[in-house]
Amino acid sequence: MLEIENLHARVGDTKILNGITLSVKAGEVHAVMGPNGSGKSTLAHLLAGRAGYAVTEGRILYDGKDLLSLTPEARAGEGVFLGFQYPVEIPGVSTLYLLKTAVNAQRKYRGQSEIDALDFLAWIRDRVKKVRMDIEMLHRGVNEGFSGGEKKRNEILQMLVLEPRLMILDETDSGLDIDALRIVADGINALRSPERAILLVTHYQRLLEYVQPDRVHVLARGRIVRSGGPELAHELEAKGYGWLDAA
Amino acid sequence: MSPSYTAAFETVLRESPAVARESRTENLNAFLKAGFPNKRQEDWRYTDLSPLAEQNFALAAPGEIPDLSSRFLPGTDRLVFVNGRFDATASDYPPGAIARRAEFATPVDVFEKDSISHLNAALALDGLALRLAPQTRLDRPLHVLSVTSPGAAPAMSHLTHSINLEPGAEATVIFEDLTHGDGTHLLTQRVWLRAMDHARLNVIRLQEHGSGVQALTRWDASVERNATLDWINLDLGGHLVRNDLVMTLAAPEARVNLSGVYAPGGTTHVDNHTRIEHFWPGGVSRETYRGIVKDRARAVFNGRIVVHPQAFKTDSAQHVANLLLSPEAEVNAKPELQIDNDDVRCTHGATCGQLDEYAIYYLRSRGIPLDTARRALLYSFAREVLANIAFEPARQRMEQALLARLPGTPEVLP
Repeated sequence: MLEIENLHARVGDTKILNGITLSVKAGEVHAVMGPNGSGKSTLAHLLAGRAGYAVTEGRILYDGKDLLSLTPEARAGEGVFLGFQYPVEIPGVSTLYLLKTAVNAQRKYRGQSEIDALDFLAWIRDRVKKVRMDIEMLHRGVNEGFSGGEKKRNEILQMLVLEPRLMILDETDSGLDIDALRIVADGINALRSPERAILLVTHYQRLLEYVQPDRVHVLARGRIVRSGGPELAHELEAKGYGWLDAA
Repeated sequence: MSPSYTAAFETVLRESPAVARESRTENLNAFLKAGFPNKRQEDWRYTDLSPLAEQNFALAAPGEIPDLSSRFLPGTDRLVFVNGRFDATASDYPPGAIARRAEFATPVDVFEKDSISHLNAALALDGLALRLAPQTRLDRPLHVLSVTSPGAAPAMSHLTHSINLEPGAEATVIFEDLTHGDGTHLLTQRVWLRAMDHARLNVIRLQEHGSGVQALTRWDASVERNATLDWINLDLGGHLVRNDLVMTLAAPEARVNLSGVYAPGGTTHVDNHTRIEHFWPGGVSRETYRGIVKDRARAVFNGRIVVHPQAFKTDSAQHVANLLLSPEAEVNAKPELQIDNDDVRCTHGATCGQLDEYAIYYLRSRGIPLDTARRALLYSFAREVLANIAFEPARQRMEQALLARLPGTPEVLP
């Protein structure tokens, strides 16, 4: 589903990614771990289409398409979703509006008709319950006055509503208490399916206790320095990232 | 000075009762002596009215009335003025007539006048005159529609409004200014507001003039003991728009909430000069403005707050934020605080920038097209002010009017 080939990228004169190669098949869950500054978030944002990065070498194929040539909204239409590490507060634009507009824009992209408003509301309410948020939050500004944990749950809500095929979750576990972590993990697991792929970008292995990855990759200085099975996450937890300097 | 102003004055004088003639003559003479303000005057640095002196504006004839029914707001009473004249047939208001020929109810003019106020006092024939007895309230908000209907030749019209709330009275008044047609027109308005002790006055104004209209409005307010004035303005249209506000906290414990959005496009020039005067202890003032400036439009904001020596325990906050949507758009924003005692709490801030690219990216990453994402964020930016409009039909009207002017494809937002 996702083929990242020898990806080099920089911001201004600073090289951030130095030749990443990563292959994620439908049905798989991959974790990308690494210390701060290793390039994890850059990779996540490059996949979602944030401006400001220069790709100097390599490419990203998604379902065989050149992902880097697509706008962020086209990528979303193709089924790519990024759960933000720092979700944005938008006072005055309700979460309901955001969801409805996003769903209809994606449907339009895929040549489908607009969704029926009443069916949609019932369906959204069901998902709001799944992330254990107050239904009233749908009518409040997006993330307005939300705590860190509420913002992350709102990301999961959006993911549950949009039903993407490739989910990239950037530090979605950071700043969560144990209850919120379970809700987030349940949301991710609910979408786990043979047609979908998940990329968990994380500093800690905490989330991986709840969402079992098929593969774990360690990112350092913009390169994948090691890949392995779930046991690699435990090893990192025990040893920390210090050993990477020697790697 | 173009002879057209004196010619208009002769016409007005024929329509005026004898008692008003002396005052009108004095005002005309004062106007002719001072002339229109020009850029050499500090308050008019960015807005030069001197070209008006050479233009020939005839006093506007009663204009053709467009069908206004789509503009009516549910749950309101209504006064309609067309080209500066009261239109009784289009109006719908309770007995106790509150529209009038200006001279019948002109309050004692205690406020200082600039030359435009003199011009207005010389030439205005009609306007709203609302006076509420103590402890009474308007059952329904009053919608004051002022329609300008420019003809082939340049014309002008003038309105003088007054709202006087006696102690404990309450009222909501919505001023809506619009234009029917494209021609050149000069409209001056003067509005007196008075909220006596414990009164609550809520003023909402929507300005959607056509691209040929020069609209000069002067607001003078006196807010007294424990009284509250809420004033919200949305400026969308016009060729040249100038709002001069002088809000006086004229007794202890008065409160003024002043806010506005200006969203000019094309080559519109919109200038808001506000002045809040704290004369007495315990006054509270809040001022919030949002500017969205696109195309080659230009906006000026000057927010002056004066805290006089005896106005202890004054609590004042002012904030203005602007978004520039094109390289040719321009904003001049200037807060001016003059604080003459130490026992006050005053804050202010002014910003000018572009839309947050990270927020746009966030929305696009959900599949929302760039165009729609930008509109949603602009709406969000302005809504911080418009959300404070308590009267729902007015709030919706203003939000829709703003949305229709934002760049991109018009569509419904929440």
